[in-house]
Amino acid sequence: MPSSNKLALRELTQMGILLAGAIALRLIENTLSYLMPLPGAHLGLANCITIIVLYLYGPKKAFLFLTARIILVGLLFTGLLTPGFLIGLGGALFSFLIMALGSSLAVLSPVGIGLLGAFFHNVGQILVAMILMHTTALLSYLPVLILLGIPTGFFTGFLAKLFLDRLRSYWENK
Amino acid sequence: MKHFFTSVMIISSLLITGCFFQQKEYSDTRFLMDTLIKITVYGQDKKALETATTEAFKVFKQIADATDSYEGHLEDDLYALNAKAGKGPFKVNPTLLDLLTKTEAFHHKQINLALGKVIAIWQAHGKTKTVPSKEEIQTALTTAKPDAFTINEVDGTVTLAPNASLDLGAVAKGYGVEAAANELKKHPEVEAALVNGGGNIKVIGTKKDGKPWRIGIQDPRDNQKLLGTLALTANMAVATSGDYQRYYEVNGVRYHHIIDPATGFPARGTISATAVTTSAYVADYYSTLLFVLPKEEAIKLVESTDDLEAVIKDDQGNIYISPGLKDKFSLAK
Amino acid sequence: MRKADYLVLVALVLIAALGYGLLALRGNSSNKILIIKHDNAIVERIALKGVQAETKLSIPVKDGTIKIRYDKNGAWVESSPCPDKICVHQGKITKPGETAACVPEKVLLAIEEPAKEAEHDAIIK
Repeated sequence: MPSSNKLALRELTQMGILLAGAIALRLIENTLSYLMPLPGAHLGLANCITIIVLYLYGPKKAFLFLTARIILVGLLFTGLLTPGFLIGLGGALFSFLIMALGSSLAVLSPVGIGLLGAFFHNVGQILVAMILMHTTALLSYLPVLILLGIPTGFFTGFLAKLFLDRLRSYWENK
Repeated sequence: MKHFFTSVMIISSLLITGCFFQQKEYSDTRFLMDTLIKITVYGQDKKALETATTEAFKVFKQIADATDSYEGHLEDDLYALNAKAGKGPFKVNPTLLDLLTKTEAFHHKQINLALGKVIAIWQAHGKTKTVPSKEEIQTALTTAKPDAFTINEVDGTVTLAPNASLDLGAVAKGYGVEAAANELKKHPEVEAALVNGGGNIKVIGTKKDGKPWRIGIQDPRDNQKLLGTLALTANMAVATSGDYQRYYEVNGVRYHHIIDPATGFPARGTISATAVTTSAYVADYYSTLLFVLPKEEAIKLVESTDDLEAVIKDDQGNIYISPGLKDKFSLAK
Repeated sequence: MRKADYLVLVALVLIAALGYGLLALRGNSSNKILIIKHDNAIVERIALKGVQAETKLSIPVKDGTIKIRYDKNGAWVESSPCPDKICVHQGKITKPGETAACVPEKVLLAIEEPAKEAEHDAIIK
């Protein structure tokens, strides 16, 4: 529940914890990275956290969160400005844009946002890869990634919703 | 609601598993036995597939070396044996012994492994595009009588009569393909494979999609077209012998490479004979046999032999398809 | 979950299915690859689609040099030091699966397609 545009200390602490969670999820994804067709392509499990932040703090602060996450991942895993970094960046930015728009429309629950997020995450990744490699041949990866994106998007959205619902009922019962 | 969630989760987990465990394909082509041999293997681990294929080619090469009548490779190969004609028993390579013994066990006079001298004459004339005389052929045929060679399985020796010369072209490729396929079977990471060696094909296992192997048989008179398509299930072999594979023409008459032992000249009447059976070696043997036999006898043989089906096209354009292939073979349009 | 979520789910599944369908259809021979092997090692792997003009390629072999030419449709052996010149007589190979080989010099030209949409697993010749 965004209070103001300024970051309260409590919010900062909370986001810090969530950021750690996102990095942990990314670590888990990395163990599966050899299965991916592109360098830096990943399932997008950390999106779950992004959705939570989006709903809790609003798009502006969530964007800040995302930036922090991207830089951290770049420093820890892919290296800054490497192709893997750029591919992940493209996916993350594109999906964030759509998710922010989607959540502001208030038609979808976090599950729908998660699905959209995963879909556009993959589309973003492929688009960046195609620009980097000057070829449209990579489009053939899209159906597989979209198919993978459906369950991951569903899971991330579902988990985010679960988390948010629990949090809401916690605050309501306090 | 709960059911929807559960089914979505189950379905998506299955989908994910399916995407991650996709069957991979690996293939390699090499020159062996004077032709192109292509091995295609399917499995999960690409490195293991490569290893299995390399091992299979090793086995094939060993057989190619042992059965090569044109060049020597080993001390006890066919080339060495032919050089010892008329010089008593010669201890041969176990592979060679096995192939000779197996083939002799068939007892069909239309397959004669001692046609080496006759084949040499045809090859020489092929270079000059001439036709050998009947006398030349008759003289060579005297070296191809049934007593041209004897096998002693106990000692592992073969005795060649003087001037006799063995040529294993009728069965060596099929034998090699079968051995290569058996080598692949020893590697559990190979889930399915297709070995294709110059007119001899063996398939093992089934592909991930469960569909049968689709093997096209080339049209004997148009290499851009097919005679038809065979649908093979796991562990089957098919071999084709034809007058269009190696030949030369003189005055409009085609002289091809499959010699009828009775005449010493290329067999006439059939232009393409395809045999379908379990072993690639047996398929190679029968494809040659069915090609040489007169059509009626060939048909009788096929229909009275277990585990043997065939497609035979004669020089009149008639196509015989054995009853067992009713659901497995479809003619090209 | 709201109704709109279901809509998104269904839409995504449809898009994925459409993608697969298009992919299956697209697997035609516009992406031909020319493979040249010498002595069982791949010496060249050329995507023919990107080839603008006719290109020459020479491979040193044991008896001399084999000259190969290719364009965006296929490839052929222009000259070879081998005695029979079967490879030269083979002519131009254009279709995936076609090969031209110079057996004495152990050189193989083959056209392959990256997406295996071939109707047959093998052709027996």
